[in-house]
Amino acid sequence: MNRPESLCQLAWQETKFGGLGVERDDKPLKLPDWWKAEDPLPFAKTNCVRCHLNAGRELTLPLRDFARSVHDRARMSCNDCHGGNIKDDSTAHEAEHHFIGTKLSAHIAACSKCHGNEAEEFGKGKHFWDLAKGINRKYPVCIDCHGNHDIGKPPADFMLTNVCTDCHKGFARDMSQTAAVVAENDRLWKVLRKVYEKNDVASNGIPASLQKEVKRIRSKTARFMHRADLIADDQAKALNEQAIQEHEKLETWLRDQK
Amino acid sequence: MLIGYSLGDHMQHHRCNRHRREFLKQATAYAAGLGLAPPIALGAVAEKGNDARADVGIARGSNMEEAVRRAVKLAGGMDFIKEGQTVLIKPNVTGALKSPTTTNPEVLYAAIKLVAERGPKRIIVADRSFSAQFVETTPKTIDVMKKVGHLDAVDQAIRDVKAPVVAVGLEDAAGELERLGRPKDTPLWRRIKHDKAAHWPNGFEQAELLFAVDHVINVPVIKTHFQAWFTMSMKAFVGMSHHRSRLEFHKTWQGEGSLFDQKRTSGRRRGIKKDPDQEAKDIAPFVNRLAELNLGLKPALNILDGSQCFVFGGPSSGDTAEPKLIVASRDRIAVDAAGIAVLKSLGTEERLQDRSVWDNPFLKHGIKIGLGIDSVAKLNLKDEGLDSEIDKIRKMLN
Repeated sequence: MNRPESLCQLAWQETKFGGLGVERDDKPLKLPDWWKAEDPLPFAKTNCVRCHLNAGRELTLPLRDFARSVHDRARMSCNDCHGGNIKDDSTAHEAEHHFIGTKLSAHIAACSKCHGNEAEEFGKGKHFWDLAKGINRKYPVCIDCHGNHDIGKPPADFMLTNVCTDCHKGFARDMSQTAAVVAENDRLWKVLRKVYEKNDVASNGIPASLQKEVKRIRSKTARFMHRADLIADDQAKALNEQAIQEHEKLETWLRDQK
Repeated sequence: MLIGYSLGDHMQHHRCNRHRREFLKQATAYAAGLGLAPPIALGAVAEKGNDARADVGIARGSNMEEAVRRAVKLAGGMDFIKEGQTVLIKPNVTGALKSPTTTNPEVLYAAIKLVAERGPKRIIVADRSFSAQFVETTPKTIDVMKKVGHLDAVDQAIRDVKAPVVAVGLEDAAGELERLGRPKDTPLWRRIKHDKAAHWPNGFEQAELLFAVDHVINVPVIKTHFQAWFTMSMKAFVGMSHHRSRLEFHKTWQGEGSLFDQKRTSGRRRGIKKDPDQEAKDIAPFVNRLAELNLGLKPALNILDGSQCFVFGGPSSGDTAEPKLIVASRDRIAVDAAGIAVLKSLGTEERLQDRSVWDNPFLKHGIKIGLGIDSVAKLNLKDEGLDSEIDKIRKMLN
């Protein structure tokens, strides 16, 4: 087994080169025994990372899921969403440092700090439920589709279609255009996953020449989802044609990498 | 000779002081001889048979004291406390955060007052708080009690009804043990082995003080828990256990049933088809250990604080609701089942909301090891002051 000592060194190399502009913790990291050599650590080595690495179970797994997520690549750390004090362990979880922990209703507000437009659109749509009135998991929140820690790197069996059919049992029949767009998005995501695996983990993962167009298509799809708008037939066709084109370009890029 | 002594036998007589004191005298002699607390090899299940029914009181009042009084009465009252006895009230003092992380001081005050009305010699409010850092240097429980308002509740009860009450951390209970007749230097923690505690092959350690008093009254909070799914009467036994035992179930990841292999992701996404059976299997090693901590002793009464609850997240942060009610029962399974039904009636996490109360893995293991009733048919829910809300709670109990 090719682990520990090199892993610790790797952790410190990442500390040296990663975490740009993020508060870092200078205390040594101790990796748990089960941490696999191929699993990277988050770039930003805050005190959150140091303690949670050995806190165990649900307290440690978020680190593994977060590493190389879109937020990790942006050099964010736990406290950017969860709040808390990254300068003092003893008050890390204090409310006075705006620690929100697992508060579902507060997470939406946390997302909207950076994704204000998306939150505003979502707030006007049929999918929105005001969590201040109580927890009602029949309505989706950001993390149901985007994930919480593993944003941008969902598990292999994740499909947006399954999120929709969780509630809309006749999704393909009753909302055929929307279902077609969601299905094409899933196919695009499948190839993007392969691209991310190939491409530099520290970049945003998408080849530079394709970034703009892929982002445009995915944002447009997301806008429909956030508003919970029904998609017209011509809109669905146009969007899917563009998605298929970009899909093919990504496949070509992948073939060229071999 | 204590090996082979059955806690089940002991528990059958737990209302009889003479039997208890004889047992304690034996235990003390053993401890004095070896300089150790006696390891207990416990043979029988510590509870009543499965044909028994359980009364559960659920109540609301004009204030929390009235709610406590009503719920306790519906659950059968406190007649088990005889004049001159010692009663330990165990609130939830998990960390230095106020309700709903810890028991609401108003509820604690009401519990002390009710116990005081039975004329006990001494009431001890005790727990052991924890720390996210899992270290021995965890803040002193008494300091946490001060911060969360529990010492105010104690002082208020002394002022209002001259309650013979003190507050103490289970880690600082040497003085109380001596006062209860234990020799000086009696170990504060007792290792317990039980044949039904299959996940604790080396046993677990619980506070000696719990075994030195006549009755333990458990006063936890109704709340969701990010790891255990919910925390109420059964989970409260973590607070009665030594850090070594807590560390063992939080951090022993090796071998069969490794806690760390339980989850493949920390994600809360939808769109990944969940297998409820796998979900239950994943959580089982964790909650099985928790349930088995309950084999050490049986509280005489459980009073669940539902003044404010975590309905998502928990135990120290999350989304809250304020049902302002109390659930009480002598039966841990029954009271926890009713507590889950309360959470479901308020709207809670999917793993509780979408699953029958009786299909909850934590509760199921508690039933398996004989901690209480085994079905809703044996749960006798009595209510006061909840109006039509009780219909929803009853529906959620199935």
